[in-house]
Amino acid sequence: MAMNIRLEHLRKEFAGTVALDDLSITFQSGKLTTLLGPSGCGKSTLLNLISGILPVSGGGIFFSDKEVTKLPPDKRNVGLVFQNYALYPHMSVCDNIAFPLEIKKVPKAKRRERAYELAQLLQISDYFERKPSQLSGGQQQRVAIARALAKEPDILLLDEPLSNLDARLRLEMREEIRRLQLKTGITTIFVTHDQEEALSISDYILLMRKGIIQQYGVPQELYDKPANSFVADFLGNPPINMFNVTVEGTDRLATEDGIVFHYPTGALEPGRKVQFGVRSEAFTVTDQADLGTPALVSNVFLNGKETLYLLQIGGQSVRATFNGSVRFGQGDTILVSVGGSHSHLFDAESGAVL
Amino acid sequence: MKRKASRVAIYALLIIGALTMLLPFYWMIISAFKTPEQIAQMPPLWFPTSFRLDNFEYAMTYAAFGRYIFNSLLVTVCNMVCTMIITILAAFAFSRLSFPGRDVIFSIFLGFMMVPFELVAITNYGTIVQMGGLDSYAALIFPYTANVLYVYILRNFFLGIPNSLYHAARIDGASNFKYLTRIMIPVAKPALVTIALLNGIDTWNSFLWPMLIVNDPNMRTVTIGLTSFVQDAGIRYERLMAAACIVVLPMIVLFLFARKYIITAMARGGIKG
Repeated sequence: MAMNIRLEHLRKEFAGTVALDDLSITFQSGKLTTLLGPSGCGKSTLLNLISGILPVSGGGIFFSDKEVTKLPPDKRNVGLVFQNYALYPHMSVCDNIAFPLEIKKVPKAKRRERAYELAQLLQISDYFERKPSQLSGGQQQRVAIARALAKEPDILLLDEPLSNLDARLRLEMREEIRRLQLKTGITTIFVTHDQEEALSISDYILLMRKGIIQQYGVPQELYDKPANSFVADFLGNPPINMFNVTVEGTDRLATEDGIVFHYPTGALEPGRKVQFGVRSEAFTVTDQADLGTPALVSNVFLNGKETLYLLQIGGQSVRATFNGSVRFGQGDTILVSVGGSHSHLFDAESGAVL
Repeated sequence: MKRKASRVAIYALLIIGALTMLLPFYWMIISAFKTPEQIAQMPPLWFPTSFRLDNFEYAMTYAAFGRYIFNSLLVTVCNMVCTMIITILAAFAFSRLSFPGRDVIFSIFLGFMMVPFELVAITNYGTIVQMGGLDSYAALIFPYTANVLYVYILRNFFLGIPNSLYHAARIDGASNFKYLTRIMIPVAKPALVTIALLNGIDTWNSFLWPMLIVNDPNMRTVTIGLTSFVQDAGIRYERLMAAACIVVLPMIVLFLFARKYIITAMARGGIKG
């Protein structure tokens, strides 16, 4: 039975500084939820509160209906994979994986058997008798995951598990974690600062900043309908292009240096200053002079499946991707228009979407 | 070429150092086999002509070195066991548990290292006398089982073990005590062996404290036995050297067994700082 995780008015202070304040949220049972945010946003703190490594300063933590707020980590039945793996250096792979079972006083033959099953699941059974120091980073990571799963935890927590791996291995392990999570159906919390990782692996993403929830939802929703300019800026590669503009009528936005975008502004009153966020894929090339905005192609980057153009619009550098049939060279001047779902208007002060 | 020259110099220095250390030791051993005439011989006799066991026989019969060695072994082993338990628990508390005043208390303990041994010996002697503990094993074993230096060394080693290992063990279901016995002690084995050996050698060689405590000849440790042997048997160097050989023998055996650990402990200690 997978459990959900309910946080109620959670608060955490460190020697007077507030890391998390009044945080209430429920993580779905049997799903993989990613805690995403820049470093210092409180995502690891939140994970450590759930695991019980850190005591809370206020509020409550519930696993389904069971309150665990005051329980020590050994009584919560959670599995945790650390960023640095934290394998026991003096124990073999087998003993590492079986350690939680040893604590539970499972007979030796039985825990060896269980450890071997997990080692097979994670494809490390060939190194079963080796010491952690004889393994590569990726193999150590697999041992750490196997150990976290050994005691059949209610909840699996992963604290930036891929950040110490090289790019190729990271991709592989990312898929591996997702495969395992789907196979076991265990409620999983995954901490990362890598938005691409979060978008690809998660059922749900909780995006945080300075201890405050920015948005919680499925990845596509965060990408398509960002709640504010921070969310829009944090997600997506290449990053979203942001313009400081003034509303001029129902379908015109103007930058400070007089560049005009034709864009529906809805009910916004003319003269209001807003932020105009445009993802690279929201630009299209147009030949209608009265609707297009002039842009100078300053650089072209081929990266295989699509082409990234660096454009100069007014004084600003802008990244745009066009579909494959369009070809321009450096120095060309083109007309672009903005439309579709990947462009948003944000309040200039609060950053909230308008 | 220059590299080779410096290597030669280094080895020459090391050889001189080794000889300086070994020569008195060698002298002790060969002297133990000599006759009284050979001892006084000038120029000195560097290679003994005969292997007489008379001196050893004399030492073993005239003074109860068997008994002294037993006493010393008992005291050293008991002291080592107690010291290790106290040191491990104290180091664990000072490195891993959080309780009010932890760092202040630890600083005060460190301050105790400044107090000279002799000063403590006098007050301890007073206490033992009041407790009526003269000439007892307990008085030889217990007063020096808490050693701040060892706690300090081990605490620092424990602090070098990543926090995540502790948290991992706790999440895996281990209690603090289980963490200590299953993870921390095995990981800290080099440091523990170093401390145990230092402590063992220290206790074996301790002189002033047993001297104060022991009057009964049956309670003598080897160091006290050796001095009283001098007093009782007079200055007969060949016999004295035979007695000294008997006394260091257990330490040499210990070293041969623990050599691997001593060397790895020293090497590892160097890296960990």
